[in-house]
Amino acid sequence: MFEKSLTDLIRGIRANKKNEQKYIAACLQEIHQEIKSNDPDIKAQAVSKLTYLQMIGYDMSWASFHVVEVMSSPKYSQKLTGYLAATQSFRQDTDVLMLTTNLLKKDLASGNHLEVGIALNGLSHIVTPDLARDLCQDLVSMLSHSRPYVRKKVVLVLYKLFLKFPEALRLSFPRLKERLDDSDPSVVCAVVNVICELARKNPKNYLSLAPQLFKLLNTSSNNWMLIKIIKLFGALTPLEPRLAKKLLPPITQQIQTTSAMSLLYECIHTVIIGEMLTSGGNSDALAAMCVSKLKIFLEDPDQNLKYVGLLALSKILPTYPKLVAENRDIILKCIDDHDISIRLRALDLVVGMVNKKNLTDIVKRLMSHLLPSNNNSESSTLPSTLLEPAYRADIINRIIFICSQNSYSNIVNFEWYIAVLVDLTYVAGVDVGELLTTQIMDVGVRVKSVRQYSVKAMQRLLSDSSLLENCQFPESNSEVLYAAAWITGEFCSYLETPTDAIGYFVQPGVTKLPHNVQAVYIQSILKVYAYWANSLTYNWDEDSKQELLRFTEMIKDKISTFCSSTDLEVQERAYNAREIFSIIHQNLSTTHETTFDVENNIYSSTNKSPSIISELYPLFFSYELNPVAPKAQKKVPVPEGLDLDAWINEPLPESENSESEEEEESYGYGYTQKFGGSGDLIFSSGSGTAIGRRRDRKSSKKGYNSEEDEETKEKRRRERNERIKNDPFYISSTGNDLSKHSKSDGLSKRVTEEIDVDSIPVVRLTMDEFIFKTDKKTSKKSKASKKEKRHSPPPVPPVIYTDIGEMPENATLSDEEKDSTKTGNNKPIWNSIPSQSSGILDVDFSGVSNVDLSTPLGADEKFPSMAVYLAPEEVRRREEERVRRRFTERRIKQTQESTSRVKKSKSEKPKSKASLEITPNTKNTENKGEQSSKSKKVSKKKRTEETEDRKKKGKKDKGKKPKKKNSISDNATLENHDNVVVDEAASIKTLVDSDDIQVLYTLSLGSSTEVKNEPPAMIADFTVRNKCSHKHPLSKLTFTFESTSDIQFDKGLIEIGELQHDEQKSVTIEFKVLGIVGAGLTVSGNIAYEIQSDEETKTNADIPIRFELPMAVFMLNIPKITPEEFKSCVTKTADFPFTGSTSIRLNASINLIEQSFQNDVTRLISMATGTHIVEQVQGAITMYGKSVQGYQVAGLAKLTVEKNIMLVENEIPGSAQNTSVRIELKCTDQAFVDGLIREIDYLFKEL
Amino acid sequence: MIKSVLIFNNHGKPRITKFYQQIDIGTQQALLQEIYSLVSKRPETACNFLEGSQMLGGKDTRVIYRHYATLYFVFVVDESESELGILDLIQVFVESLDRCFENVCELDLIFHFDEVHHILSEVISGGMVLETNISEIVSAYSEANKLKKRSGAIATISGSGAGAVARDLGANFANTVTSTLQNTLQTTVSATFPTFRRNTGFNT
Repeated sequence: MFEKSLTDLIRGIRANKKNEQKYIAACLQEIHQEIKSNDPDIKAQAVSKLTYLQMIGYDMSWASFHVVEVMSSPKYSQKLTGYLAATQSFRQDTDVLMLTTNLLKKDLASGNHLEVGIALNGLSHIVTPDLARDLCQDLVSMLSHSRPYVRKKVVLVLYKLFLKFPEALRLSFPRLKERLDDSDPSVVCAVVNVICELARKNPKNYLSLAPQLFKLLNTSSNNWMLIKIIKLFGALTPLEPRLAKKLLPPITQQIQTTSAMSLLYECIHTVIIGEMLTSGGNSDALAAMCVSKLKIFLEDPDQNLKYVGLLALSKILPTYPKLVAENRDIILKCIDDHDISIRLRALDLVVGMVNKKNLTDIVKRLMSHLLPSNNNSESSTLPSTLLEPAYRADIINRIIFICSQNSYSNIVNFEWYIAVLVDLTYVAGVDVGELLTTQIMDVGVRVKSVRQYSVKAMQRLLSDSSLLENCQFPESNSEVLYAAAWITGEFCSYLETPTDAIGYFVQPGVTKLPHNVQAVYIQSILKVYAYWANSLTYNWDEDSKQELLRFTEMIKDKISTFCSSTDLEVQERAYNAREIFSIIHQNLSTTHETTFDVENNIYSSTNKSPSIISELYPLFFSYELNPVAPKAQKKVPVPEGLDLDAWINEPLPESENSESEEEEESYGYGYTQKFGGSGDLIFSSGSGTAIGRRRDRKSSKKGYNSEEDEETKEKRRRERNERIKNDPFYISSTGNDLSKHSKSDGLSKRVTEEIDVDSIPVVRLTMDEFIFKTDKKTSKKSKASKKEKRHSPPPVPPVIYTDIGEMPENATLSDEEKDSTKTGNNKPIWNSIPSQSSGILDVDFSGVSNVDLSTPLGADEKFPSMAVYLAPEEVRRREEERVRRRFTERRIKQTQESTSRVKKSKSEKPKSKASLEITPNTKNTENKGEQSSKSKKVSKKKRTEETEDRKKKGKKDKGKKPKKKNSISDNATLENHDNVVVDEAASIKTLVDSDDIQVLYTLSLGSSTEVKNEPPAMIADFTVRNKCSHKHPLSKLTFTFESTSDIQFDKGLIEIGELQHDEQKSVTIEFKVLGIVGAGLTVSGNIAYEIQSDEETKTNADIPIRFELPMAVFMLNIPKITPEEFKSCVTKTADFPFTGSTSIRLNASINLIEQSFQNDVTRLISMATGTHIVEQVQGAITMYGKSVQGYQVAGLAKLTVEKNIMLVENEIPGSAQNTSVRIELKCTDQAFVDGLIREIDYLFKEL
Repeated sequence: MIKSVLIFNNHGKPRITKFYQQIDIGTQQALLQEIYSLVSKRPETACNFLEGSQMLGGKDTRVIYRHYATLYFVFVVDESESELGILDLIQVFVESLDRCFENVCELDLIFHFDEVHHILSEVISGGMVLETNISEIVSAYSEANKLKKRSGAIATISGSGAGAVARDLGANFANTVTSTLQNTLQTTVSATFPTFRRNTGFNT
């Protein structure tokens, strides 16, 4: 009653802004309680609140079971709440999802389309492979649902299903396709949507839909759908060039006429990506039109149009750079746009537009973005995002990319570039040290002419103390010193004052630098020293010797600081260097004595420098470091007798996969990991590094020898497959292999050939021409796409301002090769943001994209049936049945035992015999009382008392209800008994009958009228009698009942107090039935009391009680309806969607075809079901009843008696008839009818 | 595919979060915060496409948003959706909200987040556009609402009390469509889908 509603919660959160977390924590506590409540309203409310809290970041996965409970609520509003919570909180691994299969099935089959709607929407979120498998058949059959509202939702849900269960796509695609002709536009639109999504992944499957889509394109006026169709064609046309031709007229018309900018945009977009400009006849005119229309976008004051215009241009860029160049001015203007999104798009384009002439200008513009602008008025217009690290890093990446692309082919002045790089070091403000380092080194090594300048520039960097001071901050880019030191060391011949350089290397503070930089420093010290000392030897005299001595000593001291480095590499190098210096020092200082000897013997001049110094130099500078030409490796002739294709070692069969993996891996080693895409591109275009070389070899092999390579590969693959076939440890993946293969080939010839070209109604062309065209196209394409895939460098023209690099002897760049480099001149498109290859919201499409729709369905392809799972109720029912059967067996055994015992005791013999050997007539009567009480004792522990119990019961039945017996014996007119029957259903039953106490109970309905939407209330009357054999009084007698999820007691504890011997008291208890009224509703509790046998001794007793609620109790005592009313009720309405039936075989031992027998059977049925007999004819009975929840029950029982001759002749003579009753019930509630059937079964089984 | 729909206010407080892929709640919140921090810096005159999300990643993932008075409506989509089309879809969604709540304002969204979800589910299903006709959306919603009332909704949840308060406190944001963004986007919206003009009767 006092729970917070959702509104209260939201208000509370808003009111407690200061201690929101505390407040929510308290609320969560309450929700934890409420969610366990038996009241479905409170439960639903708790779930609803949790869903709200989920939105603001509170986990609710713990409540998933309760969510399912709320989902299964019969109330629409609660169902809605439950499903919403499920869509928001369920994950693929939510374990309760497996419980929802039947729930979803039920809701999908609901007669209310809104309920179906929420189930569909829920399913679209929570679908798992299991759910998809189990529900796909239901959904596909719903494609022809009468309501478009349902149909359109089903169509969209199917797509989600395909993602999880790709097999369903093949099975249901024909049905889905039919929906393209649906009468409702929304449904058609939904189908187009789904096909569009599917075609993005695997377009060739959907080529066959082209005619239908084409028709829609021409007829529809729904812009939403037109956009999708046009997008869809954009995916299809690259596969089918003839389609492009066919599409051009309608698309051109749309471009010219439509007033919707979005449609216009999509048309242009499709023209571009669909490659229609190349295949069409008058492509020039079309291209011109596209560009002029795009110009409208770019010049529009609306920023959105400008943005998409730039987006479209970037799609054109790789194929038609000329068209983009026409808009250069606008694009350049956009670089300085105040809107960062537009800026980034424009930057993408600029990258592709750079040439030798405009490079410096563009770089200058970009650099200005990095500098905090001096102009105040300008900076105020710039959004703060411009100064963000991510943006700055992006700009720097772009600058370096545009400068370095195609082996620096756009750079005219490399000194300028070095200056730019040095400037970037200072203005970057973000960590791009590694990038700059590699750039500086790369340029320094490759471009000889710039070395002097770069050494000078590097001196500046080395001498900058600010870099040293801030070296612990990555933004300071101190890492550049790595390059500075290396270049200085390597090209120290350009140094004016080498000693200064050495001074920079050993200045205080260098030990704070990163270890790898320190290591280079030490190495560079040695290099510069070697150079400098060597230069001294040219005019060697005492002064230079002294200088060298002094300097060597100084370095030796300084280098000791490195010796204590924690880094092993630095330490080792430092010790090495120090050792070298101390040897030199020793050597120098001792030359006086030694040179005499040497001098006398070998040298004539005392001015000769010590040999150690002249020997140090060639250690470092014997060979010049030169870049290697891109083709060098390929030009190395293969030595005679070396077969590169021969195996060195026969590979193990398992290594097949690893080979292909290795291939893939090799694209991403080394720098790629460090730099992301950009680094990769830069270095792959290089030729001076080992990386570049290796890569080139690989790509050249793949790129130029692809033909032979493919062949040999194919051969090898075949061989491998052959081997694998017989290998029991290898799981064949030929299908996979094939798809991978064709994928890696891009749009391989094979794919194009497989397309059923005849099915596409397009303009007739001569076949020769077509084949020629495709062939050319695909081969070109496959090459291109392969290259893109492998991130291999586009072959580039030789670097300008650098020599072509080293080549093997006698090898020159041939013309033929130059040509080939030109053809592959498609520039890599700069990917604006160095992002993950897959986004966090990306979907796994792998399954769906592998589905092939072109082959017809096989006979073995069927929708999976649902037999795998049973409904929970069904499982429970079966389990109970099993338990009951076992119990009955045991009981029979016991009865037999007791009979024998009784026989011995003899006293009660006649009675118990009677109960066993009764004629069918009396048996019925006896059992009526007995049956119910027995069933209630299923779990009763005191089984030993059972025989006694039954005896007493028999007695009691006779004593208390003589009327009943009479009614049965003279049931001439059943009609008279109708009301009595219902009463009897609620007749008195025994709950406990022990030595001390006897408890009888009756059940009745709490209300006499129908109460819909409320849990039915029940009243149980208990009569307690003290029958203690020693006549002791019972005290502290209490009844306790446990509320369960199904049954709720208002007051679960009743105290009766004392009960004298033979005293009888009555108590009444009320309870509500919350759960689904069906089989197996049980009330359980305890009876506790004390027996005071004398003054001292007290015995406590605690008897568990348990009784089932028979369905019949729920039936209302309604006036009888006439057969006519019954007939109209059953035939007219479709109110009885749920049915249940059973047939019972009665082994009657005498001729029982008589009316009386039928009457008995009838009575039993109507008693078990609590229904009225509407009409009774020979062999058939109709029944009708209504429950307190408003469920209607209509029943038909057929009695068939047939003579079984076989039986008569061969077996038990006398049992001439084989009688069976078949009972069919119809009801408005499934659980209820199941319960009824079960009770009938049970009742007859007792017979 | 539409990957996510987010509604948050000028202070970054979420009003609706909908993810059509299942991702964990921590990522959801982080993504929301990132998009908020990016989008809130953008001036009104900037275009409606957001760049620069580091978290989202993925090729061709686009963030398209619209700002109405106190609320940001953000759609995360991939390349199979038309950029301009999504802008209009946001408009359709907001107009549907406006019709369903009768002069919608932020407080309606706060107190009826479940109903907003319901309306959204009539526009987008499983990440794909389900219905773009506003009348269809509104009629489906009101039909469901009737059924909900009949089935005995929890009075306090759907009670009109909150709504009444909301209307007093909050400013109708859909109306600001007319005053601010609508004008700047007039060219796109009305030109894109002429049908809109017929549907935008609420503006008067």
